Amino acid sequence: MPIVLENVSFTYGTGTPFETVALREIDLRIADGEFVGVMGHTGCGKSTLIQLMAGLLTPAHGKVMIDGADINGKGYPLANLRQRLSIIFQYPECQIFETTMEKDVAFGLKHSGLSAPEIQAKVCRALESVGFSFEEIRSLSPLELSGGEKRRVAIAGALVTEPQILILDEPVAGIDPVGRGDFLKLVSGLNRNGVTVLMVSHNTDVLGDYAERILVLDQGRLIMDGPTRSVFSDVEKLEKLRLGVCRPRKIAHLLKERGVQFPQDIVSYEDLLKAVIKSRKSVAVS
Amino acid sequence: MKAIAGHDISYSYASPGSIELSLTGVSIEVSSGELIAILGHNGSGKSTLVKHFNALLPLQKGELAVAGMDAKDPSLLWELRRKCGMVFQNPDNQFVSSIVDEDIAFGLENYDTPAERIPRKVEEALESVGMPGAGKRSTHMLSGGQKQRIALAGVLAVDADIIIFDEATSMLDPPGKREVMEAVRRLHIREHKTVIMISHDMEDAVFADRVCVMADGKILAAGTPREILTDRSLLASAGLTPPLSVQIYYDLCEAGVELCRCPLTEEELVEELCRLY
Repeated sequence: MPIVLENVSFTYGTGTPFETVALREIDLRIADGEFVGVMGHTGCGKSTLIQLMAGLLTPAHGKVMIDGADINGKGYPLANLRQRLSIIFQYPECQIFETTMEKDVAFGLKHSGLSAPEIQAKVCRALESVGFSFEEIRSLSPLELSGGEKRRVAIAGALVTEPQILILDEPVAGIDPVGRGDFLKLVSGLNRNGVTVLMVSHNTDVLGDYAERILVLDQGRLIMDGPTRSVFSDVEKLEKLRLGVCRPRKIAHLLKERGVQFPQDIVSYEDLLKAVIKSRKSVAVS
Repeated sequence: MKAIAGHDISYSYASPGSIELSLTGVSIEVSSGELIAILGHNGSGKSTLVKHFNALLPLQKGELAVAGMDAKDPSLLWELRRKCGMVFQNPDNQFVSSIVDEDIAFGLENYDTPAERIPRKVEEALESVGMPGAGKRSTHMLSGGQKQRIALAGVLAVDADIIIFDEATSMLDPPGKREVMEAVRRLHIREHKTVIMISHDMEDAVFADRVCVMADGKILAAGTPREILTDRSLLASAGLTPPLSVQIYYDLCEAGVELCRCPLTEEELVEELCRLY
């Protein structure tokens, strides 16, 4: 299910004094199985972009095509799209509305035609995938969970339909470091199995470690789009935009500024670690 | 006088068959003017603990004095809440007005501040958070970092001495986070406010006077940032991970590359790496 945006623009409050252009002439193609990071300041159009992709907003101009079909075309089955595309919003705990965790996670499967035991098996798997014991959590009310736990339940609710496209808006904020690591492993595992992942985040370290491609939005325009390595190679530009780069890249950059011969094609923690070990060995040999 | 003196505090959200979300016999002291970071996994009891400090949760068991006031004494409740303010995670959930100065004045009005003194107090609070003259702005037009600083100004306006940040920067973009952290450090250093900061960002904890680690409703350890953040097994047992600089120090050690000392910040790491070459 490739996602294609053709010349998409979007304006809020058209015809009112509050008219604001949120996105301008976006051209974009995301292939199946990509892991794409989206960066940009508050107000740059990130949230508008993902809502357009999910058919929650209709573009003022241009087309949003998923799997070759215009999702805003007449008669397009949006309900089917939503079984295959899940969004986890910025405050996932606000997505919880049922009285028990089992019911909440099961909601997305309510009209799927599956039998009750099939639904339960899927709910169980989704909750376990975010680190809960199904038996312990199933009958709890959201009021009994901490903030971070609620986030994980909401994420399970988005995963339960086994989407082919997963859109995450700042998913790891407020989740503890171990929970964050587990969640990102889960997402990258899904991605390896072919799920397209689009992750909006201010956390450049997470994007550096996981995303293979980065989109940078600024004032509604797509100003950078490329492999993570090449986008993060422009440290000055990203610093100037006040977005910054991931820390491994920044450390490599600082070392270079201090006159150290150090590789600059670094984006992930692993890259940094390997580069230090490798360059250390070459220093020892010489 | 201690800003916070808590002894043997226990709390249960009291519903049958629930996941344990309570505190079990937590004792904690925070000195006046101290900046303390509280770290811990989701559900470890961090928020439950700090919600006792400004009496959002009633004390079920144990003793607690906040700025010398007994948290159990209902007649001191308002004064206690004035002295100890809280800034929460979601900036949009804590506004009561759509205009900045009205929002900041809300607390002052509730504490019966004479109307003629309010504008001055509001402006002073705005200056303290680095947003002088922002009084007439509309709250929904502010950036996340600005919103959090307005929430902080609302706490400062009523002369709070103890300020609690419950993951107050976790939803902000990097510039917003920087703005808020700078405001926090300024208040701590210049105005000697006591700061209690809950965070999942180990890099925030580096700048604390003391770091406190919670797990499963208990305080597991407390110490200087260096003692706590370089203790990998402690952090692992609390469901936490060390800062990047510490992680790489240990990973390099295992690969046979030894740095002179374990760096805590990015700057220290760059310093140490430079020495290798």
